[in-house]
Amino acid sequence: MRSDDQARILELGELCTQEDPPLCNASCPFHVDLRGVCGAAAAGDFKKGRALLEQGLSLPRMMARLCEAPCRDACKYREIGDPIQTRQIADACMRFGAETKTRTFLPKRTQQALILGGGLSGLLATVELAKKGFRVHMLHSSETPAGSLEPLIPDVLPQEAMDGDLKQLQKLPVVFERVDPEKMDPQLYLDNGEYQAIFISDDQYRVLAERGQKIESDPKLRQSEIPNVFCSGQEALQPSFLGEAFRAKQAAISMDRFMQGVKMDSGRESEGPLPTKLYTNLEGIVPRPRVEPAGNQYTEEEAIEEAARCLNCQCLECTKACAFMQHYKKYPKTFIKEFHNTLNFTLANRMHNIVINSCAECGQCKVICPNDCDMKEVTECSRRIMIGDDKMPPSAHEFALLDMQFSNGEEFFTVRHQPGHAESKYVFFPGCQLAATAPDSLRAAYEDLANRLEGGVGLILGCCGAIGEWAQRVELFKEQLKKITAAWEELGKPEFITACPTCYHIFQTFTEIPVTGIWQVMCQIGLPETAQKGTGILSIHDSCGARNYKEVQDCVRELASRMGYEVEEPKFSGSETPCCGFGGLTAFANREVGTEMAAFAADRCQHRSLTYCANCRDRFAALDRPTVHLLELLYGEHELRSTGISLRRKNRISVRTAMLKELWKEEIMVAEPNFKLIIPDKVKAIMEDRMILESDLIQLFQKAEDDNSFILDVETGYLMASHRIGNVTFWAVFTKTEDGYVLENAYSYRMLAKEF
Amino acid sequence: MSTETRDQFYGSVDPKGRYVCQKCNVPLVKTPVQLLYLHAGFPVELPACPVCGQVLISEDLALGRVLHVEKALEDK
Ligand code: SF4
Ligand code: SF4
Ligand code: SF4
Ligand SMILES: [Zn+2]
Repeated sequence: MRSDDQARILELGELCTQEDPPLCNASCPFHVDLRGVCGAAAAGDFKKGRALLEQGLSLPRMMARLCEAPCRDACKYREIGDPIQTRQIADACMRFGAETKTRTFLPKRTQQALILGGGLSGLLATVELAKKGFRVHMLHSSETPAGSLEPLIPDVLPQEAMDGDLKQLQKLPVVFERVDPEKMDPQLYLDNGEYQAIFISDDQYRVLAERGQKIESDPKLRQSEIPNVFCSGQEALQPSFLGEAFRAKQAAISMDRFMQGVKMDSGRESEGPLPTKLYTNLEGIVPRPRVEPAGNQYTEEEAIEEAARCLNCQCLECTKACAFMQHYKKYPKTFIKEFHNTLNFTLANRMHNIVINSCAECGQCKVICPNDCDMKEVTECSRRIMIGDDKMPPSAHEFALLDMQFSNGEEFFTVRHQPGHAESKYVFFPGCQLAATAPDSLRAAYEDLANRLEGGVGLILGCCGAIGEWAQRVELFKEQLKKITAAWEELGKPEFITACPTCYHIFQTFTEIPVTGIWQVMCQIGLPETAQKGTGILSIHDSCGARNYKEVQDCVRELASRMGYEVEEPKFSGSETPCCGFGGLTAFANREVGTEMAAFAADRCQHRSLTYCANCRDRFAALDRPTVHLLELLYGEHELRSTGISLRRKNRISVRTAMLKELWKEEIMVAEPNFKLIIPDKVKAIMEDRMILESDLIQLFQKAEDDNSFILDVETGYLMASHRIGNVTFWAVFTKTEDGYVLENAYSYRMLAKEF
Repeated sequence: MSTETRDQFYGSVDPKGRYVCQKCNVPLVKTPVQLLYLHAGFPVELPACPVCGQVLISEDLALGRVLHVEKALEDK
């Protein structure tokens, strides 16, 4: 159901944790973007680093000096070496980075806050509230507002750092006033009506505590039992600069809301340190020791060098292996958000339809993701929703679906016991794509199996329905499975032997048919006599169909090694193998992405690749990447070229006709056209590009001959004719010969032209 | 369909005698035609045989504006 699919998409989106903060940021109660700061500093952009610090901190220079830096303690780098010196890098950004001029609109507020006591928390609350537009009156009994920080100046805290931070108060309505210690008692100000909220700084809290006056406060809101009085509470007695600053910030947020009369506690869950599930792969990183400053602080060069050690913690694991994600420069979380928007909101342009139709539904990302986030399932749900909403572009999958129906139609679909047998213990199900691309491998494999296995090896030619499953045409897919299951029953429920990893997967997953692969059978009965005695190295390319089937992957390796080959495991192999771009019908809906996927998959193979899916082999060959199909090693190699859509059809018809004739002694009448159609190579390429089949044009010419609907183009001298087949109108441009036609051009479109 | 796609498409092609219907042996002439796709229709004028009515869409038109509008409608 739509709502189930919908909910599942969002649920899967939660699994992608790429947007979780890195450990440094998560451990910082202010969530300063330290990854960004390090990135900026590493690029020498201290101005940007400074801007990021100013975004997160109200006293950035002072914090860069004083903070205990849990970010450094939490830093991922610690797992392999010295953590990044985040605080010193921040300090360098504040010293070397130019100010970013921002014009902030300051709301004018009439309310006034009282800050009792200086020190870090007193200053921070002052700045926070003043920046929000409140009038702030700060009383301190210490010599300066710096309070307990005074002794740290200048060694730990340089005067410039404090002055720099306090510069922002210049034009704000703040009054500092030194008063006698006895004037520092909150009781004096509770009822005088001048202050709408009072903050007791940690400095002052400690003074009051020494006098036995301990005021409790809420550990999050920092509100005391007296509603307009805010303070750290007992935590003020455990000195820590970061703690002090953070509590003052919490109090300032509460005071702001309190003075404005809005709810104090809503939306504050993300304050303070947070857990994070961001995964970061440390494989292959060679740790470098931290940069020690020659003086007492980093120079620009030192800061850049140290910042460059930052790992820029990210996950993106799955994207490293998927050309589809790389094409769109996105990761599952962002894809899922966009899919969701596309499926649920009326956008001016559903740009993302094509994106939803570009994932190969290959399942690789789920295997790679530490959280099992599965774009395959997201895509399946999304496509089902599109179809249900009548938003699936018909052009996306129609060609492939028609091809599936061709494979399971009268011109190809075939069910037979082995010649001379009334029963079948096994049945060979080579798969539609093997028939389409390597008909002679199919035939050789069948004859070999029939020869060497006892009990009868039947044959079923057809398509397992994967194309329907990829397109998420649920009913159509079920129909194909029903057809195959009926054929299996008709033959007496023999064990399937398939030569296609995707068929293997489909039958395993969606039917009760017992299925094994030709790979396993060969491992058991041994190599055929025709098998190569090879030497050298082959890079194994498992297919996405075999992703979850270790038994298949193992057998293929075993066979290669029995033939004498050494097998190289490329990056991302076995269950992590990338798709060749045929999966999910990517190649049909988005040829560009499909090709990028094929290239990515092929190019990670260092040597000639060993494939065992007919599509992988064909798509690698189309890109001139050296490859060989396992069945070629067993029964003879073909030249390295891709088949093309028209030949794929013809191959299926001819292998069936030839096998029925020669093995079963059945004559199949293949209707031949009564004209000769000559298609020059350049036109063949055009047809391939435009997905026009030779058989479409033969129909076109037959129809044109029947009703004599030719048109002469006087300008070029060519004849033209058209014919609508299904949802597509085809045109041919040609010349006539004595016994047929020479094609000059062909094109098609989906619109229907109707006379008024 | 947005007015933009309609306007982009709305057009007229006058064959000026370039094409001749072989069946009827007459030149195709500019004729009002409806182009239909995915619940949308566009009135246009295209070359058609005045006798048997067959309409001609040239390669330029097919791969140009027709394809463009098809894509736009599919992404609606
Ligand atoms: S592997 Fe991919 S899906 Fe999983 S968390 Fe990382 S980025 Fe997200
Ligand atoms: S390596 Fe960089 S991004 Fe990762 S936790 Fe450390 S400072 Fe943060
Ligand atoms: S193509 Fe495969 S790896 Fe890439 S997103 Fe889709 S299912 Fe995941
Ligand atoms: Zn006519």
